[in-house]
Amino acid sequence: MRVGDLPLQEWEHSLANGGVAIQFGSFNIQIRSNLVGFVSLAHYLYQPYPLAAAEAIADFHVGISSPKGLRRWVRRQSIFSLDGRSPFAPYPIGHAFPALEWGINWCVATRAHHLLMLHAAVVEREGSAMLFPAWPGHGKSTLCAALIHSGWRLFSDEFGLVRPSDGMLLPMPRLIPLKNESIGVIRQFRPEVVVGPSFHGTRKGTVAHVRPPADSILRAQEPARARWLVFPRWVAGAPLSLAPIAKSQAFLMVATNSFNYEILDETAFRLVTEMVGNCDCFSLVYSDLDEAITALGELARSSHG
Amino acid sequence: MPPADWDLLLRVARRAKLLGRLEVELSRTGLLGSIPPRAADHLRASRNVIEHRRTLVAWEVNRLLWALKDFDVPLVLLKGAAYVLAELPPAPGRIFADVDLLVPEERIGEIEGALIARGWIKTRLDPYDERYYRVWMHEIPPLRHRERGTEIDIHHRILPRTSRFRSAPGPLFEDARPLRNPRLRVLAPADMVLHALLHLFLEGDPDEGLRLRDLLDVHELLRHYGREAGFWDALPRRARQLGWERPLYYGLRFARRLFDTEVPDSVLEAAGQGAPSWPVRALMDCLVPAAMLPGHPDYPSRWAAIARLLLYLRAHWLRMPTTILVRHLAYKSWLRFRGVGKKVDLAQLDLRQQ
Amino acid sequence: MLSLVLIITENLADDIRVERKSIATLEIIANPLVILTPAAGELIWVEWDDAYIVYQLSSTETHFFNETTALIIESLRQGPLSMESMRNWIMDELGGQSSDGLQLTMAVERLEELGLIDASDETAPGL
Repeated sequence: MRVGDLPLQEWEHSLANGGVAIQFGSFNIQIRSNLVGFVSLAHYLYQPYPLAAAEAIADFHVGISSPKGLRRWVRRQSIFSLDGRSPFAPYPIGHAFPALEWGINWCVATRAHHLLMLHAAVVEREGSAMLFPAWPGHGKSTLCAALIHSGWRLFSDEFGLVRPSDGMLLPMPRLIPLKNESIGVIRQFRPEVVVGPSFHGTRKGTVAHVRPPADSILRAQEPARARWLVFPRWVAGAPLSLAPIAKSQAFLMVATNSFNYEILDETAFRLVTEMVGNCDCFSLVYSDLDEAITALGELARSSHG
Repeated sequence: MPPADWDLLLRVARRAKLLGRLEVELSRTGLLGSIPPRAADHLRASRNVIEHRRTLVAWEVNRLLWALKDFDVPLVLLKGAAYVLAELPPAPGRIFADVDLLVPEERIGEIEGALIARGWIKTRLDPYDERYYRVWMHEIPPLRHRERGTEIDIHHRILPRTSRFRSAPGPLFEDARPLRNPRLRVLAPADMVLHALLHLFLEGDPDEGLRLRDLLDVHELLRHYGREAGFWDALPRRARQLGWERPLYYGLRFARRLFDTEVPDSVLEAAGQGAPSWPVRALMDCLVPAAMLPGHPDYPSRWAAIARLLLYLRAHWLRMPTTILVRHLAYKSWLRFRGVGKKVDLAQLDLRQQ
Repeated sequence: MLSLVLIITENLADDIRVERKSIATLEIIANPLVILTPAAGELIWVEWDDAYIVYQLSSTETHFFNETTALIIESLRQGPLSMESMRNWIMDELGGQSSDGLQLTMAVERLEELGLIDASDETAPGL
């Protein structure tokens, strides 16, 4: 059963009383909220996502609700909470949705240490995964959003989840937050892309969320093996360049772009060594999104060749 | 056990910081394979963090010994570092973040200097906190190596000078026991138990309350050392000598109540000397379990929050004289009101999650 | 042997300026014998493109070592060496090129700080 199968009223009622558990790939997340605006938007944007089984354990219990006291009525705020606690800075009530999305990222990043969590966008094609480890602001989310509407399946735009037992990557195909100009770029790139409303004036500027194609969500339980490591950089006006980089360099960049490389000790070292050893590693510089997509498509084709 | 119960168990254990302990027990009894995979993942995650931290603590001690190579000074490990390096029962399943050391007060300057020369950095504090530490506290502000995250807390006594339970640290040094590496020592068994009790009752915060896992540590230490000849005699005697009878009384009382710890009657009788008056005892009997036992995460108890606050105030009261206490708490409340406390900014996802 | 004192002023994220004088033990002792520590026995080596990526089990740290640093550790595998012998051994390995004295000293100091090498309790004979 999917979120969209629940009538809006029932959805609203459940969120306010006990919450609803949704499957996002490997994670079951129980969400609570009493905010009307959030509730209806979430019903739309989370529509294709499956609900967790009734008796399933939830990995995180999160909430996005109005605070107690004055801020419930004046200069209204929304508060993200995890397990009933909120050591988090509040958000204006209009930013409840992005706040919840960021909050879920926080939960995963701080708790899911049974996995090696790389900071990377991950997409998949024909059983092989391409990872884009990158510093924030280098355009990986935009590139990722474009790729998943060009024949690639979304694993995640933020988390490269590596399963230690076999080194496989696990999907967590959530909404992709785009910032500022990227929103327009993607709308132009593929007019049929499902994009949520734009939230202005957030801590990260203007943010809007892209919902991944149904296929990515349907196949959210299918892992894949990493095949390519691509370090992307968007540079205005730059000609396309897809050049191999040294493995030692790739190792350094993957290890320093991770959420919990240090925590997983030897396991992390071995997993990253293995991944870098088995992958073809490239640096990608581009200014034109279509060119980049084409080049990456060709790379995938020639490798499978 | 049905999934709903697992869900709640994981959440409660996590809140009480006993998730790692749960994993250790299940692992020990060979049951990890029979629990739901999703629960096993969370336990595994917890174990990974704990093992990582344990290695960091052990390594920090290694580096400490290197930095202090030319110093002939007793280095007494306290709390987590002691449990880890002495391989004591409280160690498995617990996260230890810092290295706590007890050294003679007159050597602190040299030691701090040697560490700084070898790459450790002083924590920068505002002038109020700096003075608070140097004048009132029993430790200097933490040191951290410039490349590693582990903090070293160097104590020159167990409790603040201002504490109502103050006592000179001399006897603790005298009876400290060496580890396999003779340059390192840990407190004698009775002292270690008493220290753990002081730590339990005199620290804590209004959010977390008294830490259940600290009492569990005490239970484990009592069980472990209880087998050693002379321990049970030494315990109340030492408490009397150092003026720590009250915490011992409470410690034994609540360990027995919550963990069914076996304590010889003679010891209970001797510890009874430290009992408070009847009304106080009754009050503590209400407050301590309320402040210590974890509640349901979705249905917080008002009463438990009050208990936690009261015991937090009491802990502060025990640590410093009333005039200073009032000033201190007022200052801290003012800081909180002004929003100086750290609130996590969700939009900035910190890559270094420790 | 020239002893080197490094003064590094560091700019830290939370705005603490620190002046650090680093004086590794090896440089204070006259003519030390250098040994590998037990931690050096627990290293995992991966070699790519002439760079060594090394995982240190005892500290959970991952290091990037250049050729010189790797050779220092290699040279000590057979047993303790004086700084002089170590330098000669490394020069031989590098095919007779004169190894940069400063680089060697810095690498030695670094390895000592990482807990991988140390001064032996004995000193070298002679000199």
